[in-house]
Amino acid sequence: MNLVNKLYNWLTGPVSISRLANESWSFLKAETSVRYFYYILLYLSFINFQWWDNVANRQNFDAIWPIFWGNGLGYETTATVVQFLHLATAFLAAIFFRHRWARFLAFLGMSQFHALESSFGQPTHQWYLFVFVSLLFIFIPDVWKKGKEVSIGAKKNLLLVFWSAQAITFLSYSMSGLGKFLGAYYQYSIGQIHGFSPHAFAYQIADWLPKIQADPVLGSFIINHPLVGWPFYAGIHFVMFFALWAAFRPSLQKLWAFSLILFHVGTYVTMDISFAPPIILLILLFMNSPFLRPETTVKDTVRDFPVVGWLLAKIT
Amino acid sequence: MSYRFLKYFFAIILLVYFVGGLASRNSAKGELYPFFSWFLFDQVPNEKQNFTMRIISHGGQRHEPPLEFSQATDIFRTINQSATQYFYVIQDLGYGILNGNDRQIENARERLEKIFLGMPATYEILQVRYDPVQYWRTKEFKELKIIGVYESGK
Repeated sequence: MNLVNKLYNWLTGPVSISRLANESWSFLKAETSVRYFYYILLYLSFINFQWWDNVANRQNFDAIWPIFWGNGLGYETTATVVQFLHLATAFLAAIFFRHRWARFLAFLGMSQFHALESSFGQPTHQWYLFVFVSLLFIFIPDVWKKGKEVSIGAKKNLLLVFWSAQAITFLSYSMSGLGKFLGAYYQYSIGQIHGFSPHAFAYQIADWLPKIQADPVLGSFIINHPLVGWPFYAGIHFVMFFALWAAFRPSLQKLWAFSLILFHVGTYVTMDISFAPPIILLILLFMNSPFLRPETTVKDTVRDFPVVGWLLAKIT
Repeated sequence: MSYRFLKYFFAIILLVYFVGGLASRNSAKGELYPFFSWFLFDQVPNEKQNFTMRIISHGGQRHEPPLEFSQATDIFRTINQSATQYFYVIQDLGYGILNGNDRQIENARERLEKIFLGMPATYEILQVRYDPVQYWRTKEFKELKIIGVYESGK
């Protein structure tokens, strides 16, 4: 038991919520980020609403279970109801975010929109994280009571919910990294071009582009110059795999968020994959992290760095 | 809700998210909404064997040579859908043909032919073997076999 406690303290020490709940800057950052989550959700719901033309003519609508009611109504009616619901609930949440019912409605609208987008044979992956974070944010306590001092208990719960949102976001990237490592090991073991091969990125792009019928700005360049893309492609395995570790080490959070944003930009310019919503989430959750102490130095970041930091700690 | 309760509750959510995501890989579609493994592009496509489609004629216009799936951008732009969604339908149809599974063929054809928006079309399904980089450069398959020719709606 002692060992488990030691391990738990080693892992969670830098994100000690009990200590941070006493710091006003930490609370303020979390509260502000949550507030902006709902403001930005409103903006995104409007962007989705604006692209009304994009829903026309779509074929093979097959409602998945969260919008089971849509199969009886048909695609056009379901899409109309969902788009209005998404916009209306996001509007309510942007105004009444301090109320749990408004945050629940925002989750409902978001998840219905995601379900609609996912009802054409394949789930849409880019909205998953917004659905899960809006689900977790339902559990935020009311920390906006006017004229009342916020209790330490409420501050602790807010920070805990916020950290869970950070964790589920980074966990998703770590799962992706795990898949890439397992895939690379498997392909290496059977003698195929694998994730760490110099030509891996070129093969991914060349296989993908005909499927989506696109010609992104750097796609051809990487296929013709595979060695240029190699360090980025191999490096992203590392960044993704250790993303969850960064959730426990606030000194790494900004760096990891920037790296993952760069990854999304990279997949867009080489593979035409637009994963814009997670970028906004990475900004909201990590650029103003309530767990990053103001006194954090570059030395702290190096010490917390996975593998490299561990090795340096052994040497020094 | 107490802090202690929430701590365990969120730990369980994260665990279920992780385990459920990995387990969903074994489902028919490789994911089970809302669980998803996030194993995207986890393997590098080496030399491949799969199925593709060529459109011989569409809306009264004959394509000479037949229009390969990867070039049929206008069709997918018209229906506001990603061609990737239909890439998997073509795979379903190809396997259905190879296995002689009439039900699978009928189902996949019904989904695929909706891209023509009710206009008459003739298309062929090919089994192909190719190296992705070589195909991208030359637009030539290493091996190509026509396994089915269909007219939409018939």
